[in-house]
Amino acid sequence: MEGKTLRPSPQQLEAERNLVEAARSNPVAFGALYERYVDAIFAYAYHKVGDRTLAEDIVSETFHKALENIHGFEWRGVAFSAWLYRIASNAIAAKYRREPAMGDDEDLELAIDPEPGPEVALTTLERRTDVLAAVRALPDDQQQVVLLRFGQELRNKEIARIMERSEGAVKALLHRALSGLHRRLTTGEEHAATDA
Amino acid sequence: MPDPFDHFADRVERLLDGEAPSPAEAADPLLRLATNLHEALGSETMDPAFRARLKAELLERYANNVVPFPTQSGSASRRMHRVRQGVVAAAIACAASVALAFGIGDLRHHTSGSPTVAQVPAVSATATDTATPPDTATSVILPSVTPHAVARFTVSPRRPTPHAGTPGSNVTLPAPKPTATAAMVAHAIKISPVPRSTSSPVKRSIHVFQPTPSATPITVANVTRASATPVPPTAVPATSTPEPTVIPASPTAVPTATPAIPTATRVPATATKPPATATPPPTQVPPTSTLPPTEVPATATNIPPTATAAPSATAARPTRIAVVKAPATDSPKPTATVVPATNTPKPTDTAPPTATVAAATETPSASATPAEPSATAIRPTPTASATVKTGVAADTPVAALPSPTTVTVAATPAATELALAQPSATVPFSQPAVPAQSSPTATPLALGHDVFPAPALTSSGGAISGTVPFSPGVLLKMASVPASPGSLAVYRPSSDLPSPSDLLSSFGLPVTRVLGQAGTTKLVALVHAGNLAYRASLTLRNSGYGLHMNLLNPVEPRAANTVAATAEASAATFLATHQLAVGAQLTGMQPAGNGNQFVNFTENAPYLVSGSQARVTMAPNGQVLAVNLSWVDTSRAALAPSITPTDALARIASGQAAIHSTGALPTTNDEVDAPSILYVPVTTAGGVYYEPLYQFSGHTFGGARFQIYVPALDPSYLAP
Repeated sequence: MEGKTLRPSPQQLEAERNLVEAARSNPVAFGALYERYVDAIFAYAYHKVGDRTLAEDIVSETFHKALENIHGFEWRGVAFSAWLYRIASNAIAAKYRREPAMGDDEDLELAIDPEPGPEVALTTLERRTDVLAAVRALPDDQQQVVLLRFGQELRNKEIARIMERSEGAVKALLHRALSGLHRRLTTGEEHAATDA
Repeated sequence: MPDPFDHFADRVERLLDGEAPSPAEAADPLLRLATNLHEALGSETMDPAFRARLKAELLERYANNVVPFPTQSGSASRRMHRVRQGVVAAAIACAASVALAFGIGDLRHHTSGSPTVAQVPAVSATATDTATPPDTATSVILPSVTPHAVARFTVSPRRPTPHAGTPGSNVTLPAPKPTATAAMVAHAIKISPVPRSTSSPVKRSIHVFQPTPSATPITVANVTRASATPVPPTAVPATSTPEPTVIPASPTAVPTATPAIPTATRVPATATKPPATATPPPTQVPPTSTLPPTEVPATATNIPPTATAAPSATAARPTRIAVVKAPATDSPKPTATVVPATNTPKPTDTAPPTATVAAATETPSASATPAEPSATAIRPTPTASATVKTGVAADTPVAALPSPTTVTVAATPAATELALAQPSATVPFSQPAVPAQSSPTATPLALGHDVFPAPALTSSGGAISGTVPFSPGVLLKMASVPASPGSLAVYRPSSDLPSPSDLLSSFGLPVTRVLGQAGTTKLVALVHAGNLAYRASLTLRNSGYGLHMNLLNPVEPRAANTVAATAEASAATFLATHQLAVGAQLTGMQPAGNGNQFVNFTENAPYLVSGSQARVTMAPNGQVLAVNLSWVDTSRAALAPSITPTDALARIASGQAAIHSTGALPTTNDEVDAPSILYVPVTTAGGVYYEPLYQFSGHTFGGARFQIYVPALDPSYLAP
């Protein structure tokens, strides 16, 4: 898919490690990390909160915190993005704690693109909207697994690192999430068919 | 047997790697769903302006050396945890002492009466003068008492540190004499409250317990708020600013005592010391200890976790955070290395005081374990500000930094840029349209002021990405030619967005309580519609708004007769009453479970207007349970004459269109469906306009799907 990040090879990981090391003292390197991951973090945040403005807030908070704490970052053999996703995830959780009324599942019953986005064909929008609404209606951990696995194409190991779970738990979560999604989407289609 | 989750994860892995699924896998609904998810959760394009702005802000922050002092995250909570541990340990020590006293008496009593009772020797407090890390609480070992056994009570070597044995305590004192009690330990350090005075320096004495038999608190330093009042002759002249409160070092301290006193804010040994000559005189007042400073040459400080230090901060920046540069353990100089900040904070600084200063003196013969960051936080007075900074770098005021949440820019439809292919000279999209018509429902645009720009054939992403100029074009057939849409709305951006609460009020939904707000474009609030309360989430957009409402009142029971007949009318009435989704037309209803109904609306236009849709969830009793709508504000649209679908086909034939195809290009034999109208955003300096395009869809004889886009506006409104 367009815009998807390819999984880094060991060589790329090593290069990224060097980049992270350089970013501790070199703003250019930090800028390179920003360019590399800002879109992915935004996509993750947007899919999670369903609001472009909120997603931008999350992105901003994520990279500011990354800048603050990059000296304390420890390379553990996974992509730097895993750390960023974790920061973003925490930022989203914190934001919902602060603003509990925002972005909950009820409001996302009909997840309409927050920007008018008339460039999107209606049918495509509706289908995508249904899927996103179903994803956002999942429990938080399952939602996160789905977004990271299919939205960001992270490996289970990386997701496990981000979520501080075991890899096996991530696999189980993934299966449960897909089963729940399938059930939810199938029910919706049945409703539509009945209505038609 | 492999775990089913593992097996499924492997199959998903192969799927995401692009491997073609086997027939069995293709039939698996979960794997099909995984494929759909992979496509639905595609990349989202963020606003380029925001993207660039955030990067610039981050790099500016980086350049301003706001890279924080490399303390471990969560150090504040860790310090608090240590303090708590210290208090608990002291309490345990108290209890142990009491139990010990009673236990000894009791055992002695029994011993005197029966020779078979365990002989209990006197408590052996094995206090030593060696510096032992105070990492364990007072322990009492009670072996099981058996005949001829000798119970032995052991009080582990304790030193009455201010933290009662908390690891990482910053003050290391000689071991206590046996008379030292746990209570003394618990109160080893205290700040004596001294009333503030405007005419004299406010002093707070720090008493550090010295383990003498008398257990008399010893004042080792005075925390003095500098003022215009002259300080003692030994003091460095204080500045006239009253705010700094420091716990100074004794620069002349002769380090003779052992063990050494670790400092509270030890920095890594690799830290670079600032040149002493490059810093202004310190503003702290030297200690007026009642004891030689060699006894206890340093004390604790409160260093905020957010303390930041950067090597190249300039003196022009107000310094609000102070960190003490403590000498390394192998420092040959026993003198304090307190370095004052380059300047003092402003008294009007609203930021809370972040630190007091710990002086550091270490004896050359110090063999004590280097201290960790302070576990003892001596909070300064509210007006106190630290003036001593770390040797690593100068500080930068945190308050001056841009807040991560303040960089939100106005929502601009980054992802809504027109995503046509490279412009073609034959494609007339680069010509502006000029509105000339108005309607009762539209705000007419003044001719010559608001000129509709034509969609720019640049950018990427979006539903019509990947298009290329369809030139030369072909004349396509259309099964059924729809009627001309007449004039079409061209949506202007809103330059004067109302506040969300005002908009809710204008909808007849007065805000009774704000639950949350994000910037000036999103509001979550409790609103009332008649006697019903809803939670409403309103998002303002540059050409409309989004509103989600959920009923908070319990649904009143009522017979569910004629539900289908009344639901749509009730929903339409609700929208009309509150002027929501003006111009909406009913498109259908869906069951929503529990007898509820979804009533769906779209904008009342000749063609569907993407982005304008409303769904009202109706209860069986006719109450509105929820409203979810995203609406383009037609009141902000101007009308411009459109071309007919037949004219659009002619323009396609003349090569004035863009096409997206998954395979071969269509020929004259191919047929297209009736067109839909798609509004595309056009980003200009004045904002984002939305202009209509015809979208023709069809498939070639070979089965390749294609979409063709052509301007729906009359060419006469596209200026050359």
